[in-house]
Amino acid sequence: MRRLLYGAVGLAMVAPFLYMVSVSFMGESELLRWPPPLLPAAPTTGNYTAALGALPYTRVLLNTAILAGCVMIGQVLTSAAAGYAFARLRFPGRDRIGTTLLAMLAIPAILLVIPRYLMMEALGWVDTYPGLISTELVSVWGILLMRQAFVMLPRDVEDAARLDGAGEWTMFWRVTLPLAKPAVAALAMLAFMDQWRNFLWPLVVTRSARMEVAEVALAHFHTAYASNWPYQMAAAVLLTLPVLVVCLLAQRYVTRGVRFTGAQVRL
Amino acid sequence: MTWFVFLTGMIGALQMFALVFVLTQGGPFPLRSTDVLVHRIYRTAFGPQALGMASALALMLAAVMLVFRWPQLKLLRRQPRHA
Repeated sequence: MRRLLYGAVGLAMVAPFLYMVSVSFMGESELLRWPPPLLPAAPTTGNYTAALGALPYTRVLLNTAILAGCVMIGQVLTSAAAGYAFARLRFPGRDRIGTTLLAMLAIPAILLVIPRYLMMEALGWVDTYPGLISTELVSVWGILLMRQAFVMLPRDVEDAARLDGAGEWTMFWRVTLPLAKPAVAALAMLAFMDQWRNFLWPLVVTRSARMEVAEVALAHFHTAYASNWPYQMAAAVLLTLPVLVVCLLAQRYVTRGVRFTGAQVRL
Repeated sequence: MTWFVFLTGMIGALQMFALVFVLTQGGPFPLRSTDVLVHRIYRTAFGPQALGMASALALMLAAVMLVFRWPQLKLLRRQPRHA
């Protein structure tokens, strides 16, 4: 009974994706029928070749990969360093700064978009990679996750390392960080996937077609071919596929990392 | 647990943007019957460049979000392992 329920909920979640794939193989007029068909009558790959021609696919893919990759590396480094400081170092105002960070989770992303945009404009970074990437490099959520991961590590190993004369940097880089690998992997994956579907910020800070990332390109594609759903679905499949592959490959690490940090829930 | 899911869902829903932006753009002008707050803020800021007014709207959204975020964080803190 329980299995049945899980299966039903799971199917409800996967169904839109399956339908996306199904529609992407349909002819343009097929969806105009009522009721709309679930499966294509005569599957065609024409939508894919057409979408590949209309979309600067490699460019969009490259932009998205650059954004997601840089942000992933940046967030892991800043989150690990700051998390370590909050978990293990003593400095004046530590707990107060920690509480402030927690409070910053209450700030909606759109509130920060406006000052961020003004800063990028002042720096002349609008419509460039630095503008796209730089403001995403620090993640409050990532810092809290890494802090949690470090706090939960046993101190014995560190004490042993300290007795052997390890300095603070060696402690962080060669002892504590390797022990927290599951959390690092989880953070890296979530950061990557989050950036892959980042929409609001790239929409605001980029203007030209050559700077488009996946979501923005899809939105423009939708505007350009508003009624041709099979066409849009083919483009959507093409831009979902890479992140889907990454996601499936990394799923193991993410679940392990989430368990490792004590079921920290994504806020 | 139920409360936590409810609060998390509310916080996510309050920040909805992409769906409205892609599907309806908030609806035709006088009615704007499918507009949501974040989309309105975006349009105010980057359409007529009324950045001040957009910031004010965003701050008000932050105040509303705090109403949901505060109890959520309290729940997280009370049972950090099962939250």
